[in-house]
Amino acid sequence: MTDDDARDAHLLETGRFDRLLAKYHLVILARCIKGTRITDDGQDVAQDVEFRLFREFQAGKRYPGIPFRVIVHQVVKWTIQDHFQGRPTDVPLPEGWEAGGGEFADQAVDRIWIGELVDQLPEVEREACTLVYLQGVSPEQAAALLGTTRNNIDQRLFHARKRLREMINGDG
Amino acid sequence: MADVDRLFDEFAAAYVRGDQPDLVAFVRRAGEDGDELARLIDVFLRVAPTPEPREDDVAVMHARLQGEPGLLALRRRRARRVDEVVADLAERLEVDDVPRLKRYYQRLEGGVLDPRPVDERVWDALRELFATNVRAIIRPLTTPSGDSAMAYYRRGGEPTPELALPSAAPRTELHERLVLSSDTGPPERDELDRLFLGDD
Repeated sequence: MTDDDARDAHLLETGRFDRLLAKYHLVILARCIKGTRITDDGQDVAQDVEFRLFREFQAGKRYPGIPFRVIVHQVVKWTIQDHFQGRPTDVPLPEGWEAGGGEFADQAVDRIWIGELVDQLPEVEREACTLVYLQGVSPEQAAALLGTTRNNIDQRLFHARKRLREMINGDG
Repeated sequence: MADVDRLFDEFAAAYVRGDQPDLVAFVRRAGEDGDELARLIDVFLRVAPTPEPREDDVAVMHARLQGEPGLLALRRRRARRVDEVVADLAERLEVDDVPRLKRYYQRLEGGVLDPRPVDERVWDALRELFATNVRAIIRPLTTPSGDSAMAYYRRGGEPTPELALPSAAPRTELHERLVLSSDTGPPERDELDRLFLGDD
């Protein structure tokens, strides 16, 4: 578990579901819009996911040892499946969850896979991506840190995005 | 694809700053490339650190989980009375018919007005008024069957009179007024109608 996972676990145990769901709102919405491929449906499914998580956790449901971010992705997946199969999305979530395998492992593989994609970028592009997209440094600050120009950072990001898009689409 | 790159950069920059960028608006701005942008953003959000939410966002989420409209919670958080907000909005939008503007505003605030046709000028005015992106927090109320007002609008009907707050939340006088005042607008639309209902 990361420090962030530990903070999430604390929020969960202290009943701060509003703060926890506000934190993950965009993550949930993006997953749902991508999963449904329809913006309006994605918004509805995202709302279902948030209410589902709220109801279940307020009622005491827990998945010990599994980070909240992983649970979020799993509940999004279940809810999108229910949505497409016309099943109600307000039914209780499964009691058990095989934390060592199955979907949990898929999430871990996802993170490793994405990390590997970024690692495959040429060094200059990886540096720019890491600073701007993952550490929140502005392109101007990144230029200063890397001893180059803002225009050069923009170029590096442009090529990195192109390469990442090709890798993502290639791996399907 | 250049637009997708530009929009992605704009989104990512706002996100890492700790803002809550309006994802739906970004995807819509991408037009036919919306799927591509949604996919890029989804991958980005899976690896980017998740920022701590702003207190406004927590308050809006808290309200929504209790079955209360987010914008109503935000207005209360700003300690603004509805008449003050409407007066301010009337000035910014140069609207004279304040009572009718108030009805539109209350429907929007209450989650019983389809936000999609609402004019950019209204969103801009609300953004300035509340100092946050109001469009991103507007969500429809839910019906007893679990359907949403938005889903109902998408089927092309009028909002059902059964629109209700979740059972855990008390029905308020405001909610009763909102439901009773819901309609699809007059047959001929003037400028004020078009601001909230669009041109159709």
